[in-house]
Amino acid sequence: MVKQKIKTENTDDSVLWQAFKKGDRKAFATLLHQYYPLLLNYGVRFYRDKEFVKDSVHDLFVEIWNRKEHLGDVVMVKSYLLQALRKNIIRQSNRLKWFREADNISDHQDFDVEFNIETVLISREIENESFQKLQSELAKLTKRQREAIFLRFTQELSYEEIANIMAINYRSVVNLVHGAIKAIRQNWIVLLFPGLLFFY
Amino acid sequence: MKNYNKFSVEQFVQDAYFRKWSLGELSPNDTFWENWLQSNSERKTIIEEAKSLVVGLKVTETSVFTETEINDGIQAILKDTQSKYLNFQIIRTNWLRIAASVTLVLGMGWWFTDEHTLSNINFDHIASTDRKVILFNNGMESMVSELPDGSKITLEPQSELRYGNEFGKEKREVFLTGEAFFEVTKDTQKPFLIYTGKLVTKVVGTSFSIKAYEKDKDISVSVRTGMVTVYKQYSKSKNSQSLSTEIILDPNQKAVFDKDQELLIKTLVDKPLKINYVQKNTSLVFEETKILEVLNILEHLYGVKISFDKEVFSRCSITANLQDETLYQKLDLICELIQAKYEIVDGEIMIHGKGCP
Repeated sequence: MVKQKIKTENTDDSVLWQAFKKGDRKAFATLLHQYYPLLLNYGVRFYRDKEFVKDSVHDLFVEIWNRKEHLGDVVMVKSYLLQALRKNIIRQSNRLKWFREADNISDHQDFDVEFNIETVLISREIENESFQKLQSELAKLTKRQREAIFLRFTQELSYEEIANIMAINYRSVVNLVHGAIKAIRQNWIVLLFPGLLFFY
Repeated sequence: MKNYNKFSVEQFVQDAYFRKWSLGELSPNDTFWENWLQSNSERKTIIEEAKSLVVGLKVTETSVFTETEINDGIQAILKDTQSKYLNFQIIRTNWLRIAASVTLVLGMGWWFTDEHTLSNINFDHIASTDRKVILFNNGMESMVSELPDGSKITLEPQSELRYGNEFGKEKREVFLTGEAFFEVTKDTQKPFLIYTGKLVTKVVGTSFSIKAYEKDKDISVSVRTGMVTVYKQYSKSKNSQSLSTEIILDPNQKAVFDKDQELLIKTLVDKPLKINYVQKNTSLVFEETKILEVLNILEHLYGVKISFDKEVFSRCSITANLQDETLYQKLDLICELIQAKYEIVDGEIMIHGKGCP
């Protein structure tokens, strides 16, 4: 049931994409409404300047519109866009380095996710304290682990898509995600379920 | 059907169906997991652990962007991608964006990939036997010089102009780095060509200025009088000059080279000057004057084309003193008075609005 739904989303997206490529304004607008906020929020994880990110996302969409005839047949629109934006932002911020002293921009750009889980807390009857601990455990993850987790669980992307976006190989993504889960389990779940201590 | 009985915590965490249930996203009728738990109660701990992880890792995104920012951003993109005749937004800010996004930098490696410095490229065009003349302004003030054909050039500080012996024989070719104002003598038989890196400006007889500093991100050519054409040079061979995009600039128009699109963009100069096309006693003080007339006068005064729907604005008239403003200020004022917006597209002004009651 659920698997089918995901497939439909992809089909919907690829239908939209085809229409957009042919110049369908409505399809383009739909894609915009669907992905613009996501791209903004993903962008600021890399470069903490709202105007800069807004410009980057703006330029990205204008560019893909202008080159729509030459684009491939994308099925996974979300990961395509995330990948493109990530590349652009890293490239732009590196270039800015030439013209002003930007602070510590490296190729492995900082990925900073605030795992803000307060709203989730309210809807679930789970203790605040233990989730705060989770938050601090998540903060201990490496930046790449955090990005992988973000893309995997918040954006629900496949390993392959994440590999494309982060420009690393499949195996590395698997390792990142598993490594992250393992780290969290060891440090956090144990507290949540004291009985599990025996298994570690 | 998946073998959930054998699933590890990690596998549950990454299973889409399980995630949906953990996050409460399944329909109320779907009691699959409740049922499954009942039949597999020994897996309860694993399920609970996995569920906690799913919830914890889901991560609610706090958006640093407001609803308004998002909507405005989307609208801006839609507007920037619409066909020019339907665009209703003032795009002066977008023009600034274009100017800022021009990243052609003379002499820097990542534009001229396999070429050396600017000077070397330039001198590909001049045979080695030629005597080369180099005008270099090392001082603090503009330097005026005369070229063999009588053309005058005002060279700004830190700028350099070079030409060879062949200058004026069949063509008049010069190479510029920096900034200069040219007053070119008219000679239709011998085109005057200015090379600034990959951009070539061709003139017949006009006055215009070119800004092409090495450290700058863009090259711009602004025309004062007459007409120039600007094009980007592709071919490396001396003889053929394959034209990519060639655009013609009229007075008060300006070309800016956009690196990303590899296109020359035509727009208006920063400070459009009045050109003497109107009679001297034309007043710029208007009283209940039809907008058609006002815009006509401005067209002639500045030598720019202003497009608007005559029907839509047929009932508009304004009372205003437009004597002292710059062109842009005049347009701002007029548009405010008639509830319209203007934009600059391809070096022309287009005015859009609903008209007047």
